[in-house]
Amino acid sequence: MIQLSNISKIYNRDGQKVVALDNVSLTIKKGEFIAILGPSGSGKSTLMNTLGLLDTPEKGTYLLDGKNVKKFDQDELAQIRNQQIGFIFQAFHLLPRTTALENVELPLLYSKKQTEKNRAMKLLSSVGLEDRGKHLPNELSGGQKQRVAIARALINDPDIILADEPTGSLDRESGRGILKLLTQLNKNGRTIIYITHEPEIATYANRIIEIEDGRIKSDSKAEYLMGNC
Amino acid sequence: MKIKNIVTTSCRMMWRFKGRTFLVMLGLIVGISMLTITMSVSSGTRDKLMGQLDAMFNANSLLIAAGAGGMGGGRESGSRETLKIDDLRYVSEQIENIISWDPVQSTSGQVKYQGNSEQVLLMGHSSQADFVWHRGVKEGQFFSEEHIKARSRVAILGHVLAQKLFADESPIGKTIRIDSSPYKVIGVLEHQGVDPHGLDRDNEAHVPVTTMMKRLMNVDYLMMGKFIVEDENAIEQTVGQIEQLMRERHGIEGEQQSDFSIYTPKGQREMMREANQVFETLLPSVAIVALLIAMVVITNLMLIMVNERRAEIALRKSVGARASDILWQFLTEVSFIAGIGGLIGSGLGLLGVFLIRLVFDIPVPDLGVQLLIGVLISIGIGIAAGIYPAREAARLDPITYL
Repeated sequence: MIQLSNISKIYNRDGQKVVALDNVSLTIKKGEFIAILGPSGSGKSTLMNTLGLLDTPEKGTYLLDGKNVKKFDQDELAQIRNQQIGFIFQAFHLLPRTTALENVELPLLYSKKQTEKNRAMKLLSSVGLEDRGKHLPNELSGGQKQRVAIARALINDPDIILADEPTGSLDRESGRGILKLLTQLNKNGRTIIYITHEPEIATYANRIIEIEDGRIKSDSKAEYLMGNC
Repeated sequence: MKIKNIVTTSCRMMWRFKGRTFLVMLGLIVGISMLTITMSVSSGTRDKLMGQLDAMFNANSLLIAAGAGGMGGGRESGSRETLKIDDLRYVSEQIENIISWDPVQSTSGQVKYQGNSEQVLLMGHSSQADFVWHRGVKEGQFFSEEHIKARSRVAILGHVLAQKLFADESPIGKTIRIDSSPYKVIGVLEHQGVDPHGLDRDNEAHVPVTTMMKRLMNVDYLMMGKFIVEDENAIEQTVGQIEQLMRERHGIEGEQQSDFSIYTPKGQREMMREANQVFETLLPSVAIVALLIAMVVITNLMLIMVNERRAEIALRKSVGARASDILWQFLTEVSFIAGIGGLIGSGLGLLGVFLIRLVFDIPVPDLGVQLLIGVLISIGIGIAAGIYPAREAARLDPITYL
């Protein structure tokens, strides 16, 4: 469903060229559970932004469901992000002074499709927050905030979930809860790609792509690890 | 993004940023209320002045005043003492277009009735004055030919003066004293109000012009006269004829300046309009400056707000908001705030106008029109001020802030 061929991205930082992605080629199939592992500055965030259509590569082609994303204009890309991709961020990015339920419903504002009425509430229940719908983000714990963010990512029933250090702001216990939730979502058929710099967290995935200096260092299917979760 | 969604999102965001919303509103409230007040006051005064001018100085009338400088002008001795009743009579007999005329002299004096005494403007008029000046009596009778010929000691009072001297008593037939001499009150003048010079024309007493000259002032000249013409289209020719006849009669030749001035309603109206224009442009321009300041403040506040809300904008974009969705969200927010500010501003302004009306006689403003103008101007300013920050928000690159 995702095919990257020879993707390169170069940033200009203080007059110096920084190669964030260097000739990266990658194929992701529907239903995969992938961890992108790498130290900070390795280019994993750029890879994530590229996969999420927030960033455009200078070189190479990105085929999403067989279509070259270069052919889409900004508004079409926004619509794809809205419909096909769910984002989860390290810092949760919930709207402040907005209830959990309203946060979950946010992507619906920009959706052209009709969504069933109680979907946001159902999703909150499915992440274990059925009694927190009216709560504001500052009344929720970190783990609960990330669960709200996951519910938000699922509201338009996307094929792909992209998570950028989803456990990075959480304690070990809450982090494990989130990873279990992601595993569960993958078992229900969703393609999940998450970034981490901790090898231990990467072990939840069944394919680990290690990235360093903008290049893929290793790409291993780690089926034997699945037993861990 | 649906319009309903844009509006509800904007309302929520306004509420979430109450403090900022209020600050944005404040500038508009001040500016719009000032604009409302100045617009009502200046257009109100203009309508009133022009209305009075029309009533007093119809298109078929012209004024002749003693002295080259005209009324209130030039003070050279002698030059203002040459306009006589016979001049006016002669001119009106010679010129066919003149159908009526009224000689005027005036001074101020003490008017007394029993214990009440008032220092007021005294006007001397002829028996034609009710027709010539469109101002007759509402009670009693006007001057007759006999009164003029006999220099009778009779007086007609403005209703304000009558009220002051007689309270609720009827003044007709009573004897008042003007500068110690007894005068019989024969009538009460119709209402006229305050004239463009600020004089209350209802607080004055009229006597026959002959009585005024001989008995009260002991002079043989007039302050001015008014002519009524039959054909108002020929009024310029009539002015020329009057000028020529008067100069001949007064032996003024060639380049020598006339010892009288002639005023036409057209000239007077233009003068008035010019004087009013200063007033009408100056006052609203103060309000416009206030609104421009409000606009700059709004732009800055919104830039700060966009800056503070970068994470929100980035998030919205990442979950599928198009640049135009973000642009409209911010523009809707600012127009809502501005619209409400405009509404409050015009409301306060109208309240101000009604307070001013307690002291000054200005017309009632049109509520609906003023509110609408206030809101529309305010929204216009809000959008003009918000377009730059809203575009900045729409252009924001989400990856930098996630």
